[in-house]
Amino acid sequence: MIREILGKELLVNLLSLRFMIGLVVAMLLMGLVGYVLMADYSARYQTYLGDLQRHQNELSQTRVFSKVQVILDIPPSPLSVFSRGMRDLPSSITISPYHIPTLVDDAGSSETIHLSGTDKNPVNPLLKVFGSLDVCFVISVVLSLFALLLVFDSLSGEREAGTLKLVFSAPAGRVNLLLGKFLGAVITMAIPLTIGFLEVLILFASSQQVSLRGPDWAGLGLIYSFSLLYLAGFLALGLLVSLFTRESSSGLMASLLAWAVVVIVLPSGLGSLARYYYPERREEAMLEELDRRFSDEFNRIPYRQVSSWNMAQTDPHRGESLLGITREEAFNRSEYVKKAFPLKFRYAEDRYRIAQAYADRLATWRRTRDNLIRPSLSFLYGKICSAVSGTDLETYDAALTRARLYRDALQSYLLPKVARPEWFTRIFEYPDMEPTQANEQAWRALEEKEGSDVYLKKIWTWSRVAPLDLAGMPLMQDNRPGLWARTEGSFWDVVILLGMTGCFLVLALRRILHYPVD
Amino acid sequence: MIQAIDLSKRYEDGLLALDHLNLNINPGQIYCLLGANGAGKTTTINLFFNFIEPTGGTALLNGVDCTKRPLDAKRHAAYVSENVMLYGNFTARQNLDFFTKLAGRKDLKKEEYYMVMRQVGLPERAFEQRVKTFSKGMRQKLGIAIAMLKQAPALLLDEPTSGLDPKAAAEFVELLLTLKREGKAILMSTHDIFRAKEIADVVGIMKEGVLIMEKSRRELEAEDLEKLYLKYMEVS
Repeated sequence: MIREILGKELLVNLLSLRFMIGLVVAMLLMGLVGYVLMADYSARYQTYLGDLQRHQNELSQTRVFSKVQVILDIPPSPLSVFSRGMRDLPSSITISPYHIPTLVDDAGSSETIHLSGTDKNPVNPLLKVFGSLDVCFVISVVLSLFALLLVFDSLSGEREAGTLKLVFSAPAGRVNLLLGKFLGAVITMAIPLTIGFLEVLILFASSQQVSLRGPDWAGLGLIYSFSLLYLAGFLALGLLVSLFTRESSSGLMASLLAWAVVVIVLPSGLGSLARYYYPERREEAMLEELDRRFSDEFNRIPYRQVSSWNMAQTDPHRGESLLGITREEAFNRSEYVKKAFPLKFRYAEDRYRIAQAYADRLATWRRTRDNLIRPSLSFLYGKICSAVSGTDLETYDAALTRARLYRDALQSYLLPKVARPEWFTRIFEYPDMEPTQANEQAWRALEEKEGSDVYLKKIWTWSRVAPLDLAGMPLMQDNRPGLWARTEGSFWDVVILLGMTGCFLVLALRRILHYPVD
Repeated sequence: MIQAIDLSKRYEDGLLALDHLNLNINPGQIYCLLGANGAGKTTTINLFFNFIEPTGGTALLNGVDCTKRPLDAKRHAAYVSENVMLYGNFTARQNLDFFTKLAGRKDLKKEEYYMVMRQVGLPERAFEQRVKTFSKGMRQKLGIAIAMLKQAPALLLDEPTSGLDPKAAAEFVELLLTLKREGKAILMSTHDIFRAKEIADVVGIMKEGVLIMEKSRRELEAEDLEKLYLKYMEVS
């Protein structure tokens, strides 16, 4: 019996003017947004490839171990066309022994998210509740409204038109009628959704630079399924509204109100409320104390400057990557470096602990805020889509964790090299820098001939120094969270979305059993 | 076939719409319920289809309790309302197809639908025409076609000829007589006293939820039904 009602509903919907209008609007918007984001993704992907190459070149050109730093370039997700997620997140993370990356590194750096709302850093992504304009946003806002407008008079309209009595006079059953209407509406909504997805897929297929891999296809399937589930939630809500209103006009008003509450009021209202409790940054004093303590420790390390050329002015921690120094100076500095750099590593770790404590407080705040807004179907849907697409904060956080793990491995690799001269200089690779009598005579002759700065001209050129052999350096493991791991993180959001849809449907089923027909 | 035993309905606002109604309509019998607006005629039909639930008594269709087993009961009866409303964007045949399938008959062919539409007097051009272009008379005929295709032994009609022009009303009544001859039990509420006298085997007059008179065709032969009706209506 459900099949007959479903078929009829489908035909009624497809023949209706509102479906045609909704279909055209959905096709236009999804196609347009897909096209723009496709171009955006292509540009970001090209930038990523360029950055990746540049950073690899830079690493391979490193001349001293103290300058070794690895930049983790985060590839843009092709699914970002569907869900752009947190678009203000950095595209790379710098990994070095002197700094452990966290979510809340100093504002102003290009490699951290901006937590302030100043003109310089206008947006704090943590405070954003609404997603970026992407395909999922179109589904979340436009198609959800379309879904409600499709069914807001599903029962009240038939009651007004007089067809409901004739339908109820048949031995079809009220539950069957509602389920048939619901499934018919779900299939109807699947049509603009499918066409919209196909439009984006055609854009993917026509792109020379972008191709989807296996997990991307699976992610696409998941986003499609969750989109349909999300729209089913609105259809169940619309049917419920229709069952509680006597006239179509009041059903329309109630549906628009329900849509505004779910899509706009709940996320923005509760999001604004949560802003009042946004954790203040309180670690300034702790950081100052840490700096003071480490500065004292640095200053206690004995360092005797033997050269008149003082590099300290340009090198705050003395001893980093010096080339233009004498052998004697270099020897002197190496004693200093052996003590100073492990201290610098420890300083990075202590600073990380303070920053991470604030990041943890922010994470707690964010969890609380998200729990507060979870009753909004659109918020849940946005979170699920960005998780599946790998464009959410959690995916970036996973990249940070990965960067920190790699930083540990890098430090283990670098630590034994602190005692080696290549840590900060390659001066010893110049045989004529040996402090022998013959060398001194040669230098003096050159000075007389070419001037007193000949020494600098000759030595102060890194290009003559061969890059380091970094063959033994640990490789970064590509342990990015896969599609299933990311989706697993959204498990409860999916359960809530499913539960709310089921809840609306059960309430509608209960209501239709006593729905007055007269 | 159509039976009401002490059937009562009191609405939530306290209005007693039906008070201990008892009636029994046999196969091949037409029962016409007369009464002013609000007398309880539509409430009676609504109770048989479980559109509303009774507050007392029992409504039975072919012996099946309409409240306890509504779906089973509905298999034994077809419904035609005062103003048959159908899906305007569907053609006549599509409407027939949907409602017939809803009634449980899924094996009908296009030709069978056409045949029934011919039987009820719909013009051929209307078969594949959208129903939103139909006149009320055509919709009523299509309503009867739906009822006929359901092949239910009982037929309940709520003022089906109201608003029809005389020709359409006469054609409609002719259809009812055909169905009666086929052995259907027919309950029809109406304001049309002349039509009732013409076709009814039994006439009942309702007032304020109470069946105040019930007479058979034979009993009515010697009486003027209109005068009788007005007399009962005047009695307080």
